[in-house]
Amino acid sequence: MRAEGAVTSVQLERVRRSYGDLLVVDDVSIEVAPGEVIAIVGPSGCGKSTLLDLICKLQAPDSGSVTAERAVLMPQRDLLLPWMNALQNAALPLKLRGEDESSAHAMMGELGLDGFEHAHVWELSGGMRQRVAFARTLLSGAPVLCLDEPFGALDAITRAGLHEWLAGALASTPRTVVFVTHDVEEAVLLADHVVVLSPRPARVIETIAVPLARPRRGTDADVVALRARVLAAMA
Amino acid sequence: MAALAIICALVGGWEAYAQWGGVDDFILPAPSEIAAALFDDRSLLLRDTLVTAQEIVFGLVIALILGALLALVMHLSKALRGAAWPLLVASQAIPVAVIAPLLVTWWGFGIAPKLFVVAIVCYFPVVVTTLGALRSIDPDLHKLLRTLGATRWQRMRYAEIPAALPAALAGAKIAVAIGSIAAVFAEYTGSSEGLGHQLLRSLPQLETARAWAAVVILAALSLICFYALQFAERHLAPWAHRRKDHV
Repeated sequence: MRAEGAVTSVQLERVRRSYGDLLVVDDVSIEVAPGEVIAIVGPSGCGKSTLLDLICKLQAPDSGSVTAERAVLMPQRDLLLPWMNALQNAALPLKLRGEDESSAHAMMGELGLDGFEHAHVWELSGGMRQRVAFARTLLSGAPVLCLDEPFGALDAITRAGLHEWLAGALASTPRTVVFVTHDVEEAVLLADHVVVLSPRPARVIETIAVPLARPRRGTDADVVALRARVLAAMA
Repeated sequence: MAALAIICALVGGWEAYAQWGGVDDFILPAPSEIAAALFDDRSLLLRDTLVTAQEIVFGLVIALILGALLALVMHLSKALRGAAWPLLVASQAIPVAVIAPLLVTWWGFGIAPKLFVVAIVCYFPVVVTTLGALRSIDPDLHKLLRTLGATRWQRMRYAEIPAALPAALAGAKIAVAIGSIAAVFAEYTGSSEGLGHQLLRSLPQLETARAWAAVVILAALSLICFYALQFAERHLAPWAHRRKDHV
């Protein structure tokens, strides 16, 4: 649970991490306020997923410090368990903690999955699977969500629908979100700050604030302008 | 239909050769004579079938449980995995012909030495397939479960055991064929009943048709075990045949 009056939900201070001789994260400092949405963009293989692992305490930094509230990881693939139906997959975090699983039903409804609660995982479309994975992530109750390219495998229309849903879900129940993406437009549409990383080893090139009102559209002049700025920072 | 036609043609060809090819029927009995032996000696063969069926089925069950447990333990401990592999492979190199008579002197003519032989021959494919499935679980799934707060036991219960189940059954399917050979062999080295014992007795008596009838029953037993395992796999682990991607 979030400490009263906490000013940061996630804080990485001068974090460095290497695998053997390969330095993947070099002197990265990132601060995320409670309820804030941060997008991390950068070239592929630059160490973005390692940053999420560090925040989730799945790895420890070689040097520097990581302070974070309890964080849950949503990996790139949905990784639904085929031996459970859609509802059981969504309710997995509740089951693991031995809690009442009824709130999973409501969540499935909110995600437009009514009628599919008892569907087998292989009967669901890609977009539905991703929504079940989102439901599972949210039901973990963790104050920090670490999303690794959460929309990467989806087609454009499905992705737009999920963007809208996620923005709405975060507006009603704020969570701290750190998400990794390749898609600069997605970063500008969803985030409060966009952190631009260098090619490996990852360093923070620039942190760009996105002070735009929501809902945002890809065609808004401000969104287009910020997108260009992020792309310029990456180049 | 095509499969049935091929089988009919093969059996028909055998029948024709045995009937009109000038072969003595104690050297190669015709399928019709084998069928007659199956019917005439049915009470004798039924008794032997029940004995051998128990050896094969219980031996396979022991192999399945033992193999799956071994795979789980080896999956959990890297040190044990390293130590166990050479021992497991070595266990497969033990000539059953050498130890089977010893087992009879230790445990007598009962079912125990037969179960041991069937199990030791059959558990190896179960270990290989089960361990393979456990090792190929997506590391991201473990990460996800850890951040969801799953304990080691919960990760095993919700991710590893379900992933291992269809693989263990697939390993047992591979083991079925060698399992029935192992049961016959174990009976050869010391028993007073069973299809292997029947084979051993019928051949010197020139009851070749009866010996072949025992072989037909053995084949049928293997088929039944194979399809029973397939049935179990489809009902206990339906996802194994349906999923497009894996976990």
